[in-house]
Amino acid sequence: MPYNPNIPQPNDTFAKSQKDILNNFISIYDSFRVDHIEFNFINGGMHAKASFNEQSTTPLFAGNMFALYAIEPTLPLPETGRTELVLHNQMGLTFTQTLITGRQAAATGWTLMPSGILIKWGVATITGLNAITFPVSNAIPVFTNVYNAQVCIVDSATTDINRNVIVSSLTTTDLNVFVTTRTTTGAATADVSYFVIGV
Amino acid sequence: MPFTPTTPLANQGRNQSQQQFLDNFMEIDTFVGVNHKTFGNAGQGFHKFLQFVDNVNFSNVVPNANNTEIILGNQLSQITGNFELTIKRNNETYEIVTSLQPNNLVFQQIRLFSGILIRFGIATITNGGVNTLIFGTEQQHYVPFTTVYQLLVTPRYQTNIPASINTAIRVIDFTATQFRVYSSDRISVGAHNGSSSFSWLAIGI
Repeated sequence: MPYNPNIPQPNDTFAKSQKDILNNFISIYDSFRVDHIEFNFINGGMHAKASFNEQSTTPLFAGNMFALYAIEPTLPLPETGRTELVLHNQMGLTFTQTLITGRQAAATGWTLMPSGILIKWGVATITGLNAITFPVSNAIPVFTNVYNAQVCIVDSATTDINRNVIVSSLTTTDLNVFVTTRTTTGAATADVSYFVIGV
Repeated sequence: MPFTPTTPLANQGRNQSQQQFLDNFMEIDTFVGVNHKTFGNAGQGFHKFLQFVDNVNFSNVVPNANNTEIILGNQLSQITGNFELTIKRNNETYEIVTSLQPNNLVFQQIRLFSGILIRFGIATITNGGVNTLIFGTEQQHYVPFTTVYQLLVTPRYQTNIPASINTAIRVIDFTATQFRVYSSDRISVGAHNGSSSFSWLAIGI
């Protein structure tokens, strides 16, 4: 039933208003039961679920508030190509957006948390003192700050390959590591798995 | 006040309709005010908070066909036995799993809103060389990986085992259900002689 907010009008007959009002009440009833516990039920008014249909553009808000909405992100957000759930923090005239469902689910990937914490992981082949450069594309968020990096050697051999890896330095674009043999100080080559936390 | 959607009917007198209209408007005001800012107040229409009721069959909820909808709700977890905040999008369903593992277990797991699953723990092995470890040897509240993307290990020094100062550990390989590590001596080449302990962290989905 279509909802008509402009009834009844002063010159509407009761016969006309009767149908308009009936349709409006039915529409209210049907609309609210989509995501809410129904009228006349225990917990009526609470949510059975929250469905977020994709917004065509970033909504505009005023004041200070948090909002949740679904959107296919465009720059400056990472263009994941999927509908994502966004946590929008409006602070006066400025706002931040966090893709709380954003991720790249792959051997080299990333994910975001509602707090804004960004995690990146991957594997790279490194010789001696060298940089692991984090992949760059419009679909990948860039660190603005990095806090911690963990690394380890990974190799499918079932014997001791005598390798070691040490973190040298960490920036928003690179993780510098030093791969050596484990029992000497000489440079060597190995696959290095990494896990980096930042924002 | 009960809400009557089917009012007024064509043959109803105004006296009967008046009471039903009054009841309906009062019930709408009460209903909306449960989770929303109330009519006539600043911010009307906005949410105050979201209460997800746990007696709904959220399992049957399906996002829209063009995959542009994301749905949050409450679902009885077949894993934890608790109602868990759940997110559904496209063809994926992830329980955020607000239930952590009991403290007497040696691993924890975190499901993020993105669906990424992180599991971390501590393992002790009794022999050097190749060791195979199974994810989720403790069956309670275990959320299985579909795919593991990366695994990292770090050796731990055990104060009650002085020889553990001479250990190194690396990853051999991993699957969704298990991972293999190689335990060696740190200062010489070859398998470590004896037990060792290490921390591990796995990222997957």
